[in-house]
Amino acid sequence: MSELDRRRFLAHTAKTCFGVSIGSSMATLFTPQAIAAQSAVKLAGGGKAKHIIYLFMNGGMSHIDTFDPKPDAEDAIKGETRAINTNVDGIRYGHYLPELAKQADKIAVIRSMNTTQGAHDQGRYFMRTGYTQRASIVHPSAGGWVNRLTEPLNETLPPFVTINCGNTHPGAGFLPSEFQPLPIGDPDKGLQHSKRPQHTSETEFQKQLKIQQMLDREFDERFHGGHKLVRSYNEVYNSAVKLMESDDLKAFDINQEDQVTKNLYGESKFARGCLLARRLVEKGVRSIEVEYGGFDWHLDNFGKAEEMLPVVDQALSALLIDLEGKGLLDSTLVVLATEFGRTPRISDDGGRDHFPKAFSTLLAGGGIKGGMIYGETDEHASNVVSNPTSAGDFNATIGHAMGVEHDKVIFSDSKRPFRMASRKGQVISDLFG
Amino acid sequence: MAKSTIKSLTSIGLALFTAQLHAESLPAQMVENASKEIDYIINDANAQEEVQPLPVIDDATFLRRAYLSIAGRIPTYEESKAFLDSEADGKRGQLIDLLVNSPGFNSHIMNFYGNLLRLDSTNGQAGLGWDIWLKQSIQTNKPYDQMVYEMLAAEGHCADNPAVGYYLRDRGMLLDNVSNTAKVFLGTQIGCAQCHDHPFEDTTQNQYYQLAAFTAPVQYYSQRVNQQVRATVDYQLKDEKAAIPEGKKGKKAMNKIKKMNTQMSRDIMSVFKNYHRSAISLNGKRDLRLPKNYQYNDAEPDSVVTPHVLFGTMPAPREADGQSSVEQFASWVTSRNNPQFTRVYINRLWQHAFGYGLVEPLDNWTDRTKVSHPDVLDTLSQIAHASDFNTREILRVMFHTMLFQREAYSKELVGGQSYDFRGPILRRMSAEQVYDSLLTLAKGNIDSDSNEKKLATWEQFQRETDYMLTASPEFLIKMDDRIDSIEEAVRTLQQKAAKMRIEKNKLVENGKQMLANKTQRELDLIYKEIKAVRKNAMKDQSMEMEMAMMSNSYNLRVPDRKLYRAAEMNTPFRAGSFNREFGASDRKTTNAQKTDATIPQALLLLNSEKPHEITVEKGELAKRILKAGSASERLDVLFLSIYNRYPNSDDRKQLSSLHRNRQDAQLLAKAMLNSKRFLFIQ
Repeated sequence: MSELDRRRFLAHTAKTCFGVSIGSSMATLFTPQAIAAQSAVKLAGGGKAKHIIYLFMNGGMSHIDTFDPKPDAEDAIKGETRAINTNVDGIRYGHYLPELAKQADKIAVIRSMNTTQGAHDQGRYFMRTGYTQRASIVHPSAGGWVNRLTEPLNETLPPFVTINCGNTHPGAGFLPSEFQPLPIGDPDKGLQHSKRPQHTSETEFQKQLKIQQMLDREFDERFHGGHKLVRSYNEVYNSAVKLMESDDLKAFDINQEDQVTKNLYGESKFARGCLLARRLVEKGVRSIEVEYGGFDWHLDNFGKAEEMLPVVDQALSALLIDLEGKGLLDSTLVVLATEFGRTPRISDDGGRDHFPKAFSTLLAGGGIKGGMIYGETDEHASNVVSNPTSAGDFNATIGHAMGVEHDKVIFSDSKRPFRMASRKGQVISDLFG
Repeated sequence: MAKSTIKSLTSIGLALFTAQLHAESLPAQMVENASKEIDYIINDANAQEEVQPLPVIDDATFLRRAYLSIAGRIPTYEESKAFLDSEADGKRGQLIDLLVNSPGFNSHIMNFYGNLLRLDSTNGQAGLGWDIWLKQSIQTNKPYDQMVYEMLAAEGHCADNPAVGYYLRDRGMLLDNVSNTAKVFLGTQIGCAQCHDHPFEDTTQNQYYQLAAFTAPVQYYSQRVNQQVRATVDYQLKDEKAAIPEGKKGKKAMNKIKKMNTQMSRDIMSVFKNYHRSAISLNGKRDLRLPKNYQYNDAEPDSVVTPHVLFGTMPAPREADGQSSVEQFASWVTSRNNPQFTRVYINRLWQHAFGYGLVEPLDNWTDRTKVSHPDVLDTLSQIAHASDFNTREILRVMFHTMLFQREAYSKELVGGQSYDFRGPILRRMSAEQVYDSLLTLAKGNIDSDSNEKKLATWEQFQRETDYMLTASPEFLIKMDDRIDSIEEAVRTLQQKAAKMRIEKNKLVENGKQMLANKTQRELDLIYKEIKAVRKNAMKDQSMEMEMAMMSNSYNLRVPDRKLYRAAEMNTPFRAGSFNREFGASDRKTTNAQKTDATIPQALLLLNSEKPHEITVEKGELAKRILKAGSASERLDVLFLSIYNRYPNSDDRKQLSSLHRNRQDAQLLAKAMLNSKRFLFIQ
């Protein structure tokens, strides 16, 4: 086996839960660089984005209090929410989002989202995957799809990281382990167990690794040749140690950021997650999803809005400003999604209930034409009146922005055919300039 | 011994045994005969193909394999020493019998069932109930066919019949649930036919719907709750109803009562909000229709489907006995005349014992399926029936084979190829085996420790539900009033807050920041008050005891910070947790567990606190390392605890410089925990 073949073989066999390298410099010898967008896709204005930061508002974010305000509606509908001007003529957001209003020129809001999934779990699943939830298969979320449909960007870091995401996240669904997300529970703590323990000195640590190899010599003689899994354990340990020493690891440490940047994003866990997402993008992680929970405002809608929307306002606007400042906004697609909207008519409890019939999402950066609104709801924000958009359309549009073949059929282990755009998803071409 | 002799002995044994009760063990002679029969069939086939069976393993390898395969963990230091030092004849067989009847077996097989059935113990009230029900079914040796029957025919509130957890697991996804039933219990993949005729097999979409039609009556609500609501409303309206005048006026009054009825039902139902969802009711009047876009010629779109089985004979409907179609379905799936039910189950247990199925993949039996050893499957099917589907006894037969004592095959098998079983398969421990083994090193044998809080929470919930479902109308009206008054109080406060927020926003707009800040502070006080009202509502002394104790919570999640074996914890494990990193199932699909190597696993074993705690800080192993008086003793401790064998002379020589003092031994121990010799089952 030639040296190149051997390395390619090792890289392949060891590419497990998260992309393993045999040293990134070597890896570049044989790894095709980040895939250039397919020319056909580029022609249609997509394919600029290399990374995606997917923000999920868990619980069902109210559309009428955020990106689809109805200031002329009656009090029982508009409630306490007023509309404010943005930096784009004719586009108005809810008054809880003053900072985002200053970034509206970067943002395309979709006001015509529409599904039939009115329960939380099912709605989240549907929006993330484009498929209805099944008990027999797990479909990949957008973050999983885009990795499956491209070549790896970075050989040391995982291709997909989820931050603050709950246990029911579909991850990369039926796709192999190497596409599954690495979950980060606390953005302040970063990647767990990536540092040598304090009570073990460097010398001891190296010695421990040597002993480990010695202990396994006999085992390897018997099983190494015949078992891929046995071999991949050797690789995984090598890679883990390399990662511990790697500069890329700093991507997970948001404490490396200066105070000004931290302040820009804010103190909340969601803000920290957004900041971590930007660091990971810088180091070459392709997909990051950050979740922000607590949008299920059945009671006291406006009290909750006042508490939570400023967090989104600050963190998301900071993310857009920061990405732009670092020259990453064109290559990074930022999307904000949620499982459904809220009933326009305020309930007796001062809240709003589940409303999948009409709600809003947004896309920014990554070649998306900013300063626009796509689709429209009626005067009560309760019916989509133009350009109805499905979860499949939303995913297809993400795929298009990332320059992937969103309608390519990928088969599950059970030989069932699936596509990133799901069955009927269509790209919203108006969003591309 | 000639094959025919063994066969006849077995059949005599079987004939004698069928009359016995299911909870008892098989006679030793029968276990021996059956396991010899299996070995004979495999050896005979291999002799014809000139395949040499792999050599028999030494005591230490056997010991470790037996504990991990049967009890789901490595043996403790004492257990290892006791077995290795024993010179008793037949000690291997004795160990198997001991372990098969130990609580460790229950724990290990609980993970097996959990992965198979996608058990989610945190899924509402029914999740916890189902978890406990499964555990108790294992402990009491409930026959597998009966266990499956009880789940498939389950009806009622989960507090009365926790087996409804099987249907509630897939609330609103009944068609998927049926696909899973066919796959899990009959090894038949019919999922494709949910939307169109199966592209490769004979199953048509119509057949799929015919099978699913058995479950058409399944509804996700509680009939008992409905009865309670009805009774309470009737009680409230009895005076009005009695006073209905004759004639036209009467009609008007009736309409008024109807309206009141609807309103009152809604009110009282709110009291049951958290009890209503955790039940299965059967409504025999409901039927299943084909999809509106049904595209084949054998039936009309949107037409009503009559239940029919996929294969075999249709169980006779016994409407006179009041048998539901769901019971009919359960009878067909679990019938002894349905050989597929037994075969699929045996094949899963075989894979559990030896690492590879007689049929692979386990879930996709078709007409072209090749069984590597059909006679083995037959023999074990007979054992299954003779033992009355006693999982413990069937596995006991498998563990008593010589096959279980052979060296692990040094190659891996790919793509569902059929295997000659010259030896078991080399396996990495499952996530739960790794977790439970590390726990064993820290705490010794804790197989009998059970998460008491789970049971306590569940029993409390059962009492509470029973109380609610038998409560008098007076009580329920009182309870409803109480909930209303709390909500009213909260609403008033919220309205006040809303006014203040508008006021505050105006102040901000007009540049009066100081005043706005003051309003915000007052606002914060109101928020606090709202929280307090809700909290105090729960423990109001003026309430009757029963009402005050109602947790009225849908989610029964039990804290599990204390260390228990994996099967005692809440499952599925959290994403990113130790078990999930090592490949524990997310329980979203059947058998989603994995044993891949991943970097986070290496990071966990190298850098997390776990190995340090086990080897240095506290626990059994750390204590033993401290106590050991000499270097040689220390090496014995490490090897017996972690590899479950005495070090041989090569080990002693090689490692001589590595355990001279305590620190060296601790480092060596950490290296051992990271080694493949620890992580793999040879």
